Order: sequence, then C-alpha cells, then structure tokens
Amino acid sequence: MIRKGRGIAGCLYSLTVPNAPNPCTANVLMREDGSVNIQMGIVDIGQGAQTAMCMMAAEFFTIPVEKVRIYTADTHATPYDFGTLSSRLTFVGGRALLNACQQVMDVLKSAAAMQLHTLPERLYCEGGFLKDKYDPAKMLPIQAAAAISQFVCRKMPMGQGEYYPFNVPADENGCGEPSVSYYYHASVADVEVDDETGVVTVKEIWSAVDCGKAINPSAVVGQCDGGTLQGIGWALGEDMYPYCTHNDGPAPEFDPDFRPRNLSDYPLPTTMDAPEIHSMFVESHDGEGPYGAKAAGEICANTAAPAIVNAIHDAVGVWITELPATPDKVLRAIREKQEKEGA
Amino acid sequence: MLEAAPGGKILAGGTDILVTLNGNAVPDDLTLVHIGEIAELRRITETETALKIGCLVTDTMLAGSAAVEKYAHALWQAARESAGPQVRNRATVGGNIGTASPAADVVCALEAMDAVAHIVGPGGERDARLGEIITGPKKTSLARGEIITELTVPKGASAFEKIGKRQAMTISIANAAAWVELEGDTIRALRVVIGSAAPTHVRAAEVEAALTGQKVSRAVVEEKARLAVHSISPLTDQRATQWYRTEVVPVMVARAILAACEQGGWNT
Repeated sequence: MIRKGRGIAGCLYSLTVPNAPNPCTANVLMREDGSVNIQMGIVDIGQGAQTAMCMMAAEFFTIPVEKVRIYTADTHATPYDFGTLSSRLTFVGGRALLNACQQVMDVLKSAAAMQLHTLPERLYCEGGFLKDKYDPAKMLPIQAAAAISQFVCRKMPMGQGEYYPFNVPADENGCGEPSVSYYYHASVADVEVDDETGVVTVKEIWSAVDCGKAINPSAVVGQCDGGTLQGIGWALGEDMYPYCTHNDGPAPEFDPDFRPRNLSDYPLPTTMDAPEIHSMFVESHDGEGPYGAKAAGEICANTAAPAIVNAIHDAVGVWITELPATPDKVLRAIREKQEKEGA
Repeated sequence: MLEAAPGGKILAGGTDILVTLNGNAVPDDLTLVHIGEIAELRRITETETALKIGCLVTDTMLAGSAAVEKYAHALWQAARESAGPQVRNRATVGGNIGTASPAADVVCALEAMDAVAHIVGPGGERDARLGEIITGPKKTSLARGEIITELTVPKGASAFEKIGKRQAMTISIANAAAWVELEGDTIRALRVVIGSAAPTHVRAAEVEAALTGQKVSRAVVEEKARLAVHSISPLTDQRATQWYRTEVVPVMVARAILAACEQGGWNT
C-alpha cells in the first residue's frame, strides 16, 4: 500500500571558515575604454562565483556586466584565496573585490574632479558616468576618467583589495564566534512509501534559502535545484558501504565485496527520480556582506535528506537513522515495527 | 565467419559486449561479427495469434509499438523500464537473450509470455524456449555459429513488475512477469517468471499450480504468491540483500498476476 508523508527540515550554516584565518584578495583594474579586469584566486567549480564577482563589479561601476572580465584560479597570475569551501566566495570574495573596486573609484574620482574642476567628494557614479552631486552640468564618462587618470595624472586606476573575515576560535568549551554571519535553508518534502517493498518516492519538494541579497537570482534558484537533487541522492541512493551497518548495529550481510565499483552501483538520481522541485530564496540584508549578500552554496544540499527522513516517519512511522534510506532498510524497519506491534 | 574464428562473437547493439571490452584487455582471437545492419531482422510483425519480433528489434521499438503494448503488455512494460533511453535505443531483443543476465527485464517478460526463439545455425534451423536457451548467468546452450533470428510471442494478457535502486537506468533488484488466461473470473492457465533472484530467471511453479483453477481475488493471489519464495535462491549483492529479495518477490509476483488479470479483463 502506498502511504504518503510530509517532512520538514531546516539548518543554519557558516559562510566563512570557522576557526581558521581565511582571507581573500582581489586585483581590479579599469582600462582606458572603461572595461574592468579582475584577477582573483577564487575557484569557480560551477556554483557561479565568477559571474557573481563580475555582476558586483558591474554594479559598483554602473557599467554593463559584459564590460567586466575575470581571471581566476591561476597561482602564476592571480592573488591569494583560501579556497572554495564553507560557502565563502560570494561573501569573502565579494568584500575583497569591492575593497579593490573602491580603490579604483578613488583614483577615477580624483582624475574626474581635476577634469571637471570640482572635488572628488562631490562625485558619484551613475549609468557609467561620474557626476557632480551639486552641479548636474558636470559629468564625465567613466572611461574618460580612466584614460585621464592613466595618461594625464599618471596614476593607474587599479586596486588591490583584501578581506579578512573575523572569527573567534572555539575555547575549551567549544564556545566562540565561528563565522561573521550565517545563512539559512529549509526543505519540505512530500514522499510516498510503498509499505510492502520499502520503496520511497519523493513526489514534490520545496527548497528555500536565505541568501541575503541575491546577487544572481537565477543562479541562487539553480543552487537550490541542484542541491535538492543532490540531497535526494544522499537520502535515497548513494552509499559506499551498503549493508555495512544497520540501525541496530552491524548487519550480518556485510561483505567488502559489495562496495560499489562504478556508478551503476552508486545510484545518483536521474531525471526520472527528480520530483517537482520548488526552489526559492528569501532575501535579507546582511550588514557585513557585499551589497547585503550572504551565500547560496552547500546549504542547499543539506535539508532535503532530513526532510525526506521526517516524511518517511510521517508516512509509515519508522525512523531511518542511517542514510541512505534504501528499500532494504525501510522495509526492514517497517517489518520490525509491525512485529513489535503485532506481538 | 563465426565458424572460422574461434573467438568469434556476434555484435548487435553492443550494449553488453562493448562495455565488457571497454577498459579490459582485448583477447587475441576476438572477432566481432556485426549483424546490426540486417534490416529483415529489425521488424515487428503480427499474425492472428502471435507477434513475430526480429532479433534486432530494440527496446525503444518495443516500447513504441502499439501491437506490443496491446498483445504483449509485460514485454512493453519491461522494454520501457529497462536501462535508459540511450541504451534502449541500442539494446536488441536477441542480444538481451544472448547476454543471459538473470536480471534482464525483457527476458523476464518474454519467458512469461512463453516466447519461442527461432535459431539459425550451421546445423540447420530449430526452435527453442528461452528457458532452454539460457542455462546460467552469461551461459547459453547456443552452439557456435547459431543466431537467434526471430521470436514468436503468443498474444495474451500479461504484466511486468520491477524494483531497482532508482526509477531509471538501473538494474533490477528483482523483477517479475505474469501471463494469465482467464475464463470469466477464473484462472485457466498462469505463468509466472521471476528475475534477479536465482542464477537464471525461474518459473514460480508452486504459485502457478496453486492459483490455476482459482477465482481471482486480491486476497487469494497475495496469499498464494508467498509460495514464490520456494522457487527462488536469491543472493546478497551490491543491489540488495538476500533478505530483501525474499521479502519483495512475493509482493511483486502478486502485483504482476493481478495486473495481468486486469489486462485480461478482470475487474477489481
């Protein structure tokens, strides 16, 4: 018989590395045509960090994102970064980038102020122009400011920014301040459990992340989609040690020969396993983050599995305390429950 | 060609042979005889009582055939559920039998439908049932040079059930197919085949005997399907434990029989 259940799970996550110094650095240069060149040591493994950096620089200089180029992950040419981990790139990398951008802006403003016969403090950037707050007649294209600073003022519009996230290492009681800020995620899963075969099917799942300000909204939704599917694989299929242990201790069937040797024995979800995923983000403003952004990384994979396990409990009343919830484990738990109740 | 080459093998869709060769040392005497382009062997025809299925018919062709869906429902279901689209586009019926995997979905359905294979070889032509051809995991009784050219699948009411580690692109943990002949609500004849639970596909003879002559009801079918455990000898492997297979085989057998009865006009 098919039994339906719904489960919910939520979590918080650090967005800088706890208990470790993890700085990031960025080099930014504006060329005389107004295009921007970024060099950073960050590594984009598909999460969209490069795009986020370009979008933040474009926002800062009020220029189209197409005018921003980024070079990353080359120890020969790019400055230091701690690594792609702990959901830190948008937050830590973004702060380093904006620090460098600010230095470029200072150079541009002093060149523009000279050209426009005004003061740098009176200038602001809008639509690719530097404009005088108090005299609308005074404005200069940003690329002109770049050319003037380079060729007339002999000052290159470039900056070297760094950001060093604050944390307090844990004391002997485990107390400290592991991260500058935290971000949050929650999932709601609707499942169907076949109580005669133990097969669990995820029918529908909702995935929401508090990412601070969403720098690249479609990428945030993509992170939720991908993370959720990863979470489903983790919850229902992926297993390096099948039958290694069971809820009540080692199962008698364990044999190291049963470790998967290739992906056919290590079931990642296929499109046929993917339920309808409703991904969304709930924006907040983080005082420390670049433009108020936090992160949309690992956390997106974290809550699908516990939500599914809770939904299994809601459906058939058994707790699966060890992932993945394979048909084998689920059916065994159901049978144990039936025996206990029947006896 | 096959007689001349001692290490010769027939290559049809290549979804088994080429995977095995990939990354392994190729034997010196390996000769692959590719039959995949012979159009005459790649078609489904219909007679009054049976479907004739060429050995090069792919799973995709089976899954897309209205005649197979109507007259050999178990086969249609098995073809739809086996592997993934890329493999289904290549994998052939003949190759599925020749590979002789105890987990094969299509073979399970064909055996329940009592399909007869037409075999052509140097010694002439002969007909054989799949249970006679497949003798063990990756073992067949086909002589050197013999090729399965066509299958005759009698029309009938049938259904197929499968459990895998996920919804697609997965080898069966266990599968079951049932064919049934009804007279009103009474089972006149029944064949049940179980896969992935013994060295070859096995008939659930005790279930068949217990249900033949019985009036169909969910309770009776579910009770008698428990006898299926006497026909199987499952192992623990990467996909599931022996315990699990023993538990689910009767469930799948019961579901396959009931679904086959519905195909045959029985109404719950």
